[in-house]
Amino acid sequence: MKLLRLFFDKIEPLFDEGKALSLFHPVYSMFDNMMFSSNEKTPNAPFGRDPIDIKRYMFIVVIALTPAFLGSLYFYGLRILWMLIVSYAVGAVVEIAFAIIRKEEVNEGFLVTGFIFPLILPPGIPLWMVAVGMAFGVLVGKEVFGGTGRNIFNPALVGRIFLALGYPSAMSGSWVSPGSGSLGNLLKNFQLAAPDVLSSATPLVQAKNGIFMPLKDLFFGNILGSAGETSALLIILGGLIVLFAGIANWRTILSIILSFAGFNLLLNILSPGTANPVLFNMLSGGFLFGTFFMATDPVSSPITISAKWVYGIFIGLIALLIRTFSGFVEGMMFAILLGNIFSPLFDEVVIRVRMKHYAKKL
Amino acid sequence: MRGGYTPKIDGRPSSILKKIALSSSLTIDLHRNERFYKPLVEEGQRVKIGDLIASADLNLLIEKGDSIEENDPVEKEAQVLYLPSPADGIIHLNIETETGKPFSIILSDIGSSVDKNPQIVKDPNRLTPIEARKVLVERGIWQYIWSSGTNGIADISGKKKPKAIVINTIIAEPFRTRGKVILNNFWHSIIKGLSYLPLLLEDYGTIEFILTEKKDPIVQLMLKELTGKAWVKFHFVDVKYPIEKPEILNKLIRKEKNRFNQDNEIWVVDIQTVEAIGICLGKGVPMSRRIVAMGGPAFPDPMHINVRIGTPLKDIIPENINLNTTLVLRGGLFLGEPVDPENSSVGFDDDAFFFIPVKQTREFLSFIKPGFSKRSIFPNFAGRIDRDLSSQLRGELRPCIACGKCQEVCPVNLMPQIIHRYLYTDRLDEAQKLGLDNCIECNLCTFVCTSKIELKVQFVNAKNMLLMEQEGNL
Ligand code: SF4
Ligand code: SF4
Repeated sequence: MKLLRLFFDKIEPLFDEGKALSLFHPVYSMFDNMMFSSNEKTPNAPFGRDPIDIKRYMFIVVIALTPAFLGSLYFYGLRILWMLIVSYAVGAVVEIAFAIIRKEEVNEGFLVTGFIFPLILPPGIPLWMVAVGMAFGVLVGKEVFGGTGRNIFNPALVGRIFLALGYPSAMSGSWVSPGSGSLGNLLKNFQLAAPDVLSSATPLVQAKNGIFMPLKDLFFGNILGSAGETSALLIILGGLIVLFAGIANWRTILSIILSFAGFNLLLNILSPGTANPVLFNMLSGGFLFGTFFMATDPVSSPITISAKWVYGIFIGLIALLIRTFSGFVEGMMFAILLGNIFSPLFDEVVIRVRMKHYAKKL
Repeated sequence: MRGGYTPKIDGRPSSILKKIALSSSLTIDLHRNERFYKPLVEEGQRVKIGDLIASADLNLLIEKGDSIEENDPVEKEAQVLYLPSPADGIIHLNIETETGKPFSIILSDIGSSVDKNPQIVKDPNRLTPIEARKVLVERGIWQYIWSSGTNGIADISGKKKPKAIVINTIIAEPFRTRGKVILNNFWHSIIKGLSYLPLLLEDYGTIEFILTEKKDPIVQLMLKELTGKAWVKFHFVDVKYPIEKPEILNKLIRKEKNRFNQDNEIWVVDIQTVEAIGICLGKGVPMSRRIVAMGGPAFPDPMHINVRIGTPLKDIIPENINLNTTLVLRGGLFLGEPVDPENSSVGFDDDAFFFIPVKQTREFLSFIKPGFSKRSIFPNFAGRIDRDLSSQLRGELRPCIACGKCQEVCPVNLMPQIIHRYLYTDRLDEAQKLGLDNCIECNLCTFVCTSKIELKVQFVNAKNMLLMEQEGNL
């Protein structure tokens, strides 16, 4: 590691202002920051700070996504790895390009976006679609707003919705039947081209036709679905990690689950047969994945703590309504997107209430 | 208190209290806490312990219009703080060459006498409030008394008396002198000091003890000693920074229904001050020593010391500390400011020195290194180097990612992330409407910020700007 450090120190002057490679300083500092912990000093009191930083924060999410990712390798083969590589590569290129244009540092946000994106796609879609979706998501979902921290949408979600609207047949017909047994599909499907895809229906589509998959299959992952959304068990495992590390806000998660399950139950009581059974609904499709990993994205969810409750209840309700009463079987993605759109409003209400409170005190 | 947070940090001082021998010379800084003291002594003068060597005007920001008239000499005289000499010795004035102003007083040829001034020792029943205040001011103790009326040092004139005096024994900031160490070592002086406090109170005023751990033997002893006295009340609270901030304690006490109205003043002192009042009024000894916590990750044997005011830091820092790789803070981790250990000394208001390792090393891929660390507000993965507190920022400055931790820890229920956003876009009055003025500058939000944003500094700057605007409007 010493040698690597020496190498970095040696090449650093090349990127200085006015030097040949100065344009690429963000690239240099990205690698420098990634490889080695920061050596910056605390400028003001407190002169020691908490060890958390953005890299760690994002990396915990990556770790939490790992069970679902490993699961997807098992279910669908190494092709998912290709999807991941494409997703990261495209994400990094867009991110770096914008860092250079804006003369800012490369932001670590794409660590998570690049990892989440392949997991919410059907495992059989062509790699070029992964690339197009990612590029669109990062570009429109994030960079046009000014980069991580200023975006209002979850970039992975924007990419996914773009693909769903642009290539509906590929997005709804690129399922691959999951492997099973001791090795599953782990050693299969490492070709770059799409494998034999099935366009048969996912559990939620079947549910529209009145056929309900056994809960056990939903839980362990013997169903058709997006790469990372197959097994509820693995998602919950990762979800617990982000929850206990405090990265995902528990208020968001709790309120989505309570609202979704609560309204579902209410509907089932008021008008039996309209909506799917509660547990089935919760375990199928993107609900759990969306709840734990996408709705909790701090930047695109409300900033104030109280607004997170409202946001969660809103998403749960909308997801249920879409699933039950619209032609779309999924619902979670659009619900989160709508939640993202309304979060600034939720925040604004909380802020105005708070301001009134202070004004009254004076 | 809502919010609050005390991180796990190495180097917590043990309850051992070590007495430090008297140094051969003592240095008294004349510029402390944005207050300049003027020397009252001359070069070469010989002074005795307790002689007044410097004074400063107490510029009170008195609200509600009854400000001190410039030409009211009686009032003015009433609002002067004094520093007594902490020992016998010969005066040398350190003058700044550029401005010609003295910046510190050096006492040399130190005499070890702790002579008492028996004239001022009086039974609490015979002492008048005016006398008591005068003694506390001239013996250097008044400056430790915080008042809700001035939001700083209490009014000396006696016009304003508190409805309650809060005695705080809890310090949660890593690592300042723990109340328990004082309670354990100076029990008798504390009881003595307590008996004088009613002299400062308004009629039917109360003493409010802030304690933790009801089961602690010393707390039990205190409860036994003081129950039945209707004017003493006890409050048990969690040890969570910044509970010790007087602004927080003031709010906490006021929460009790029907006891206080807005015009009632509440004063806050720490237990070390009560002890000082005890030996000052009870034995005639001026403020001459402090109990100081020496701790932090770079301090080998963290402990408390009993040290004479003015003692050079050189004399109390162990030789095995490498000062080239250590940052010494005056105060605790959250509010302490760096000092030059070669040229500083223990001040009148010091109760802690915090030693932080200065690290230069950059760890390879530290954010991936295994090792689940509970030392962060987010239990997370951290490398060996990054896991331990150092003077490194431990991350890069980034735009706020709205993680919400700053709001969670803020003890006065502000939304630092939103205020930051407003300030970032120069919307100062929006920030003010969102309660910016309520910020007690505890630094917690800055400590936990994932994006390493200098939140408190921004808030202080904005407050100053608002203040200037206001003055401009007047
Ligand atoms: S410094 Fe101010 S805003 Fe920050 S936590 Fe403390 S009181 Fe809240
Ligand atoms: S702690 Fe820092 S990053 Fe997190 S919300 Fe507050 S200001 Fe933003």
